[in-house]
Amino acid sequence: MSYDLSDIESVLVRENDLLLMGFNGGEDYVPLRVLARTEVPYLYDAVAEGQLSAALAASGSANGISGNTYQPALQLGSSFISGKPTDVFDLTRYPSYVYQSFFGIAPAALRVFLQQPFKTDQRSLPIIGYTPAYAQSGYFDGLLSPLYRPSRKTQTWVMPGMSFALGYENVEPEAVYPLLFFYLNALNVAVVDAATAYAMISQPGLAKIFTVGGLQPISYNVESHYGVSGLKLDMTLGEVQTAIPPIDKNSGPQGLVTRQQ
Amino acid sequence: MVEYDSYARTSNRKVIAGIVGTQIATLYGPVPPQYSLEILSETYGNPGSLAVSGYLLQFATLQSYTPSGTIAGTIVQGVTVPGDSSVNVGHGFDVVGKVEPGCLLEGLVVAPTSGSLQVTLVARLVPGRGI
Repeated sequence: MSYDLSDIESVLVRENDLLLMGFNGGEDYVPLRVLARTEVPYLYDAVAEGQLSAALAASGSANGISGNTYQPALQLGSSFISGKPTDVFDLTRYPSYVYQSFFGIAPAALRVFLQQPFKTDQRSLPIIGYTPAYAQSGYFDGLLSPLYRPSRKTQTWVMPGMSFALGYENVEPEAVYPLLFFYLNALNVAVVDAATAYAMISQPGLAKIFTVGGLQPISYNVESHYGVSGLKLDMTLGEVQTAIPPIDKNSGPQGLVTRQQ
Repeated sequence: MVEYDSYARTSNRKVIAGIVGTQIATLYGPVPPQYSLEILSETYGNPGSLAVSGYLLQFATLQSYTPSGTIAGTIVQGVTVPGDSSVNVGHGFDVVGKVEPGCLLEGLVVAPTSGSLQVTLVARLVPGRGI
């Protein structure tokens, strides 16, 4: 048995890809170019690393719906990394980084719920939105995404200043120890110039368009992380030029607004 | 390319182990109502010198989620193990037994009256009922 990355291979973004990353329910798109990337596996043991204090207790549910063991989402910390970070995916201080993340799950029946940012349930729909008392939708499980074969459906974007947390539901009549295998496509990105950005929103297929997090309203300040205003998909060239002002030619590479600490 | 199902098989397995005697013993369960438990292999060890016969059984304990109504106690597997020996059933790939949703998987030795078996099962949860 070995890792099988065939499901995600074709959806990994590549060098020089143009990305429109959507925040705030599509109000703010950030136009980025991938300058470099590397692929990093990351095996995360939720109990051993300290995200959870103990195994998820056995479910005592009589109907499989209510009374399951539900663990509200927590950020993924590590008690082994120097400094014991509370969020190993915190890119706030690394604004040129973006992770295109996928994860496999064990055990198979374990349900994993996403909050992004922390405290905002994503993948939670009207009426059937998931709650601790009704966790029947909006989850990833190991049947969808086996540990050693992460599914492309688990794609999660980790962006600077956009925290990330996972919760769990155990439906099994025995305690379980969640284990996650992240496959991170770590990207070095830069904001593109206004002309390229306008082309990205106006020419279908030129850029890859992604919604970060989900549909729940969040407050993400694009300007504080990328130094430009977020774009809308129906902006005119003039509006894009206002959102992405020309850079000082003496302060960075021509045509790119680099974000450096 | 390896087919998806083979990964579901290999990553979705669990080992269920226990000692079964003449008092009925719960090995696993109840199986969550929206899942079935498929048994892929069974190993029965008999440390005694006499042959021992026993059963794996299922009992519905939760609401009746099984396709055939409430199960009062049906045999999942019967086995006789010679003394100082063991018996294997299945090779871990094909389904050799199944426990219905909402049922307990239990074991019981029926003869002799003092015997016991070390039972080790490889099984997996699959979503759905009666599949």
